[in-house]
Amino acid sequence: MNKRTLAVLLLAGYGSIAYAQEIPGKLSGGLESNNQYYTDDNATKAKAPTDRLATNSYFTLNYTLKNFYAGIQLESYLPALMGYPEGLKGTKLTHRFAGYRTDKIDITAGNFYEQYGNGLVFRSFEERQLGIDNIMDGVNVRFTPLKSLRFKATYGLQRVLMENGEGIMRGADLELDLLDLLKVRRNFGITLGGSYVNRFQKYSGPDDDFPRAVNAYSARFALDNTYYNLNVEYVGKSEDPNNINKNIYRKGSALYISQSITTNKGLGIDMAFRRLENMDFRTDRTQKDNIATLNYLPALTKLYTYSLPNLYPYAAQSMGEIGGKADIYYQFKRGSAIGGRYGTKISLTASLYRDLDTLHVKSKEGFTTTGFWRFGPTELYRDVNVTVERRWSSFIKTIFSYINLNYNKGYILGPGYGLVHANTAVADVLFNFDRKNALRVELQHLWTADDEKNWAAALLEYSYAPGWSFYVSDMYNYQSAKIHYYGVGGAYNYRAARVSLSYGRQREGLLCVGGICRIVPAYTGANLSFTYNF
Amino acid sequence: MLLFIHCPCNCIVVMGAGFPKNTIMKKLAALLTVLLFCAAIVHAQSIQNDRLPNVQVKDLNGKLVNVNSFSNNNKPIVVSFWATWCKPCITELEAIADEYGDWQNSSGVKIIAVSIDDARTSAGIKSLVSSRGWPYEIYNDYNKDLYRALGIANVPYTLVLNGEGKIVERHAGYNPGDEHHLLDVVRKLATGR
Repeated sequence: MNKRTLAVLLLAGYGSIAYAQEIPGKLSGGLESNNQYYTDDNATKAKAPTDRLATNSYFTLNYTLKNFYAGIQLESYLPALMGYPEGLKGTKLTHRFAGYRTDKIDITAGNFYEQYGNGLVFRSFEERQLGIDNIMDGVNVRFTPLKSLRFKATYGLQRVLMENGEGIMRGADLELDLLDLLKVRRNFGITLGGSYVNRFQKYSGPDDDFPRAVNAYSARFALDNTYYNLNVEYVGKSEDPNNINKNIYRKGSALYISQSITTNKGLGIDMAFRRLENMDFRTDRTQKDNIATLNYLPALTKLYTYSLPNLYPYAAQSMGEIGGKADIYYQFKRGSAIGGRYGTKISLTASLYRDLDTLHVKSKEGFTTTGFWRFGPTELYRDVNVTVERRWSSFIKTIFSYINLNYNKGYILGPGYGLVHANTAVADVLFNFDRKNALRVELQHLWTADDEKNWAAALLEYSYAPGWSFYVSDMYNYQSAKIHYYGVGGAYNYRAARVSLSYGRQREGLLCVGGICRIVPAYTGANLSFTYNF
Repeated sequence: MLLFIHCPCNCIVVMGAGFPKNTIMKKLAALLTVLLFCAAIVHAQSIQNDRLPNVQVKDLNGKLVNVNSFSNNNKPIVVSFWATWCKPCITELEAIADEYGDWQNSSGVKIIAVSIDDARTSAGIKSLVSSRGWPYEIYNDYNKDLYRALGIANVPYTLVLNGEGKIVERHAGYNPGDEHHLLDVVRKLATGR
């Protein structure tokens, strides 16, 4: 891009096989490179940028010597792939850190990732596919004087695009296993925890009372038994006028309750409830999307792996949502009538989210709620899913899945869209011809009278173990725009290396990884990706 | 597509020191350089022996466990990185579960499945594993400390440790049938043949 001097990927002495054993300590790391070539496409109106080639590359290198560790990450966006935040550009050493770690203490100076509790007050993490990296730059200490007493203290700046942002974060977290600490032996464990996070950001506006410092507190409780786990966390946050909440002076809160029940008879259940109110929390109050976020608020719904149900992915509403999810897994035992020789697995999932019941107020507070537990008038998302998985013989395995969902596209993606009620059926069949050759066939259909009407999709994936795989796929909205979103590609794995090459048409929409989403533009083109680690 | 070049000396690659904008050929050249560089490491690393780093993960009851302590009485260990939302990962662990009895009889291998699920989905690990009856040791790399220390880019990802705890094989991705290759590797380690 510009005339900056770029990276030096230097591995002194490392490439030398003869001397590899003589270096004290150990090096590890990895390289990931995604390269895209864009073409114009009249059907989707996707327009190639003037520079038709785009490259995102990441190179990490970690060094450890006994208790000492250090590392770097180099990133280059030459230029960034379409749909990534515009501020990601150029090449830079984005991470550098050094630290000392024993089982009792772990101190990191420089860049680090950390999480308190369930991440509702603080979680810094990287998700390259979404262009998210809110890594901290400062000092992090994890102190574990006893196995049942864990303390963390953190302070630093946060990465915002290619630089550190101006907001300062300080925080601490304490977690203790109560019964172990009291030396009481029971067949269950109790964990108590609490976190505190303070963020300070300069303000030069006219309001003298503007809260430059924002404080967030959290308390959590966990009960763990062989067959039952309960995890509760409550968060309170002080007034934090920001871009997302339209600068209102109102406190925020979050409640998360998760339970799981397991048996040794093939049944497993997990349930989660969450209520969020005015919980957008960033080191930089002027940012939006996934930039400079301090807390982690993923959508708590089932993450579908098929393309058609993923046309309508829920995204968590940090300003206000209340709802939950339940998953039930059951396996009919191997050898039973329904189970067959290999066992039959069934999963049932349901989730429901609504907005909060709020009243608009004229003061700087912006709104009030009519009751903490009250569900609001607007349904944001609801889905029910049944999946049955069965291997019939060493030759054939099938997965059938049915999804019914309501998606409030207008609320989640913005005005101009309405509600979508959709039903989707999926058949996924795997044929293992022999120890090396396999073919997977995926057929999907989505029925809806809303949005882009019905869709059909198909995928064929052929693999030759251990190295090769190839696919062709198509998604077709045959009742509306009648566009084929086709794709064709192949991948080769050799030990820790993977190369893939594909060509196809990408639909404009919400791309979600792990419940966090970003909008991707429509594009058509070829992609070459490479990953390797050592 | 990839050239596996032998790289007998120090590998130093300088990528694109200030090349002009919009020059596709130069970019391709830079890309090719990177790929060659990678290929060189692939070659160099294929004989490298290493241990797991000194990093802690959580067990299913939230207790911290150092991955240094993974052991199997001098028999091989397979460490499989997976996630509850990763379909090929589950296909792989299912395929191994179907044959696990034979695997253990012929090699004494232990499978350790390390999930990279974060706070969003980690509550589902235990219910999924227990319903499927997977006989594996299960951990949650909740902050991806281990995943990052090993430089892994995607799941599924599999490591094979020999009886001394050294990493002797790495494999990115999963294709149906990969489990047979994995079993061959593990058997060879166990029997020394």
